[in-house]
Amino acid sequence: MRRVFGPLVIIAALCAALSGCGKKAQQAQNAPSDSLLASATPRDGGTVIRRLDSECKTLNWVLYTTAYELFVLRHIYDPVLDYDVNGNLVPVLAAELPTVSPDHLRITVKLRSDAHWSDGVPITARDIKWTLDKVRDPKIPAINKAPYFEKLDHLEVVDDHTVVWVWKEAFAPAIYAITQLWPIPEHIYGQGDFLTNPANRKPVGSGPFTLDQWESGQYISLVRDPNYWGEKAHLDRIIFKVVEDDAVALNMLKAGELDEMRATQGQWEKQMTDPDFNAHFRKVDYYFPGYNFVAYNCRSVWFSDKRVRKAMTLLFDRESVNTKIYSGYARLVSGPFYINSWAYDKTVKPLPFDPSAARVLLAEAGWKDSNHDGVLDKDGKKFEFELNVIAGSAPAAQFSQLLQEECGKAGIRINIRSLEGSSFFDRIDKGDFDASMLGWRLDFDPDVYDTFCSTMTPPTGLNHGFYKNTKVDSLLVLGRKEFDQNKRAEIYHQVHRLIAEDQPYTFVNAVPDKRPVARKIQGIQISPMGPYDFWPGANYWWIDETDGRVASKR
Amino acid sequence: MLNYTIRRLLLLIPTLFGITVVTFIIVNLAPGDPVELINRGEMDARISPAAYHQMLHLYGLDDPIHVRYFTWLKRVATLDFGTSFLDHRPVTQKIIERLPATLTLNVWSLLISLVLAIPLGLYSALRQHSRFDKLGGTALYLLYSLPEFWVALLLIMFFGVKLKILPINGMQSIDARTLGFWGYWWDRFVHMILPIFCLTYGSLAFLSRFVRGSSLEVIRQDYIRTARAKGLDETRIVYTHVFRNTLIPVLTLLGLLLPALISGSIILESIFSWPGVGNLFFNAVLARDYPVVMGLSTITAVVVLISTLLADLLYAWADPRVTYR
Repeated sequence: MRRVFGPLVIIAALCAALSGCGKKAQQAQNAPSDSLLASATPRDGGTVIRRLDSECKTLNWVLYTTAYELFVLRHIYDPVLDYDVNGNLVPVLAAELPTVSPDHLRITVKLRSDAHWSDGVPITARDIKWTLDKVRDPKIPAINKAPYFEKLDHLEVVDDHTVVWVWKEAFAPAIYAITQLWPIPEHIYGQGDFLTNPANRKPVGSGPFTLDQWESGQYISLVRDPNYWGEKAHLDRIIFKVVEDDAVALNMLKAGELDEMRATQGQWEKQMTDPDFNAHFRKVDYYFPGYNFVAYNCRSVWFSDKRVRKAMTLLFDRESVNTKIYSGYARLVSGPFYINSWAYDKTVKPLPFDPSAARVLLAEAGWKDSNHDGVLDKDGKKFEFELNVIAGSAPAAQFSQLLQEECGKAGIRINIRSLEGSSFFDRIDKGDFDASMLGWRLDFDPDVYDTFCSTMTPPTGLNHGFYKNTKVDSLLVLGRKEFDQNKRAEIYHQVHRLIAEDQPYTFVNAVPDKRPVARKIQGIQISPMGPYDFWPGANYWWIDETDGRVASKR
Repeated sequence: MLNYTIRRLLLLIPTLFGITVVTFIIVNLAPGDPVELINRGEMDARISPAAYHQMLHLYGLDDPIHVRYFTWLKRVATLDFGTSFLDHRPVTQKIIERLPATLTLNVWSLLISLVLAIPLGLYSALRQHSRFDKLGGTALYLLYSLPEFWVALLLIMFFGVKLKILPINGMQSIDARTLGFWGYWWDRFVHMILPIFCLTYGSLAFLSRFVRGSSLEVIRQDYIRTARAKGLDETRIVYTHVFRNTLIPVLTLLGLLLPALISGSIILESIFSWPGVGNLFFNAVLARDYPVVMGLSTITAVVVLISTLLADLLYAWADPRVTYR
């Protein structure tokens, strides 16, 4: 789980805010629409040029940290196990799905015997163990991967093609953790210093593409590996161009120098509407795991009562956030899971915007304006609190002003406090806040133990608001031990309902990513994780020049 | 003169020391923490405080700031700027890799603006209050006040998207190396047109106004009147007397422009995806890549100090009325 700097998709929302109210609401579907489904058989050849928002620092899988690096790595390396377009577990470098021992402690993964690195050396169980050792090495900055393996006891290499993951306890997210380890070849990266290994910029991988050229700060060019062990890719090349400026990227797209990019909300609505643009580009939008919310400190005098937290949500006109800030391109959420996950209980509807119901709840909780100063009070304590927002985030500022206005009418005084990044997060980490605007970037595995279990409070845990519900606690423990997805889904649906009832957060919305993609590109699939982060992702795209424009000369 | 030069050189040491201390403090006090920012907001929040401190230790950030400064200073004394937090490559190597891109852009831009600005300024001065002077002056001030990122976007839209005659991004096409010798250089050339234009028009406006101002001053001098009085023809007056004396302040200005040659334009390099030093610096600052930020700041400081000295010395060399003791 990653926390995001203020609400998700900051830039997109900022542009939307500038452009004012938009058109009718459109909802991203995360399912291939008719136009995306391929009718023809794939053809070999052609080049796709994608945008990198910033330069890659490395192409070593262990050392990567940004989404952009992962874009490239997805083509160069294969995972052992991964999720397919429907979110089902599939073997890639593995020969079959993993087998779990009855006590759930030992997970056996058998590797394919025909898989090999791009230099022809076979991929073995020892490469996996070696890669895991590197991820867990304290001298190597891989802190974005190491936490997945905290509950791992050790890894056994049984033979060349069999590894057993031995866990300290039955741990259902273990399967997801295993999908997060992509082996790199020991015989290449084991030579010399790991951090400065020349192969970090000239990788030897296991995927359908290999590196062709890397011009620092300009582009990375990948070519199809003719010796790839699996089904060969169709595209001759994939080029990743570094374009830092959004406006320039859009111009390059229009000039035919890019085939794909992530659009800002403003670009999506204002600059991609003409028929000519739509004749050449598909507009693909999709959700990804994450949501925006307002966190409340349940230890504070105001928010210890769940009726008050519920009243806060009722006072927050989230629908109007969607239309005003995101022009309808966002979906309200009601609970702590990804809206397209099996864990999300779709029967739980987001609370409505209902100030009068909120007033009733506040009165029930004992908050009344006894001295007629326009501010509610209880036992001599005024209902006046600080709402922390991260400085520089336009949507956070707008969210909070909307909330401030509605709350003001109901007699709740909010002082918005705009804090610079590190002090903002410092307060959150310590649980030192009244209320705070935040966003979570989630993993595909729905485990939310770290964020909602009452033992995971600051300074070490992520339950920043000190939320406590013993029923939720025991369900979260259960959810970590249940390996059957259907039973696990039922557990998380219960968690969802309980948390929606308790409202430790005001759940606000999920905002989709938006990408224009050249029509000539075929075979695009959209998974619950978007068009890239699944198997096979963009590896088997192909080109049909007759669809849309003929590729530009440049 | 030699005495003076040595004194100035010695004075560089404490100045440089002061600059690095101040920069080091500012850079380190800037909000944000490299362990978090290098991951650009993508960092997994589940990391335990122990893992986090391990990472701080790995980057050597768990020492107090003065200890870190002297560790850094000791290394720099041996001309070692350390390795980048981002990709663990030596800072010097990263800078050297980016320098040619920035130098190409800036050297051409400076040459073009000089070649155009000097005659323009001189001509304006000789025809002061003429229509050329007035219109030219207005046009140049107009240019000078246009923000370059805006002009760059307009040019990109017009030449790249509408007319599709100029590339709008990067230093070269993807397959430039397969185009043959002439094809390759032609490709490099067309990629430079827009960035160089954007980089040049502002300094052209500034420089030509500067030349005009300094020529006007020269023209009013007694020796020009004398030259006219003794019947020299106008060409001779302009070339031998006005032109040469006009160049003296320009020479000083050039010394001060020298640092800009290597520091690169952050905005333009970013817009044109030009892999230069400005771009490197910008991204290093965003990620709080302290070694790169400090390396570049120090090198820039050294160049500024040396070119200021150079400007002073050149001034004395060009203008015999000036001597330093």
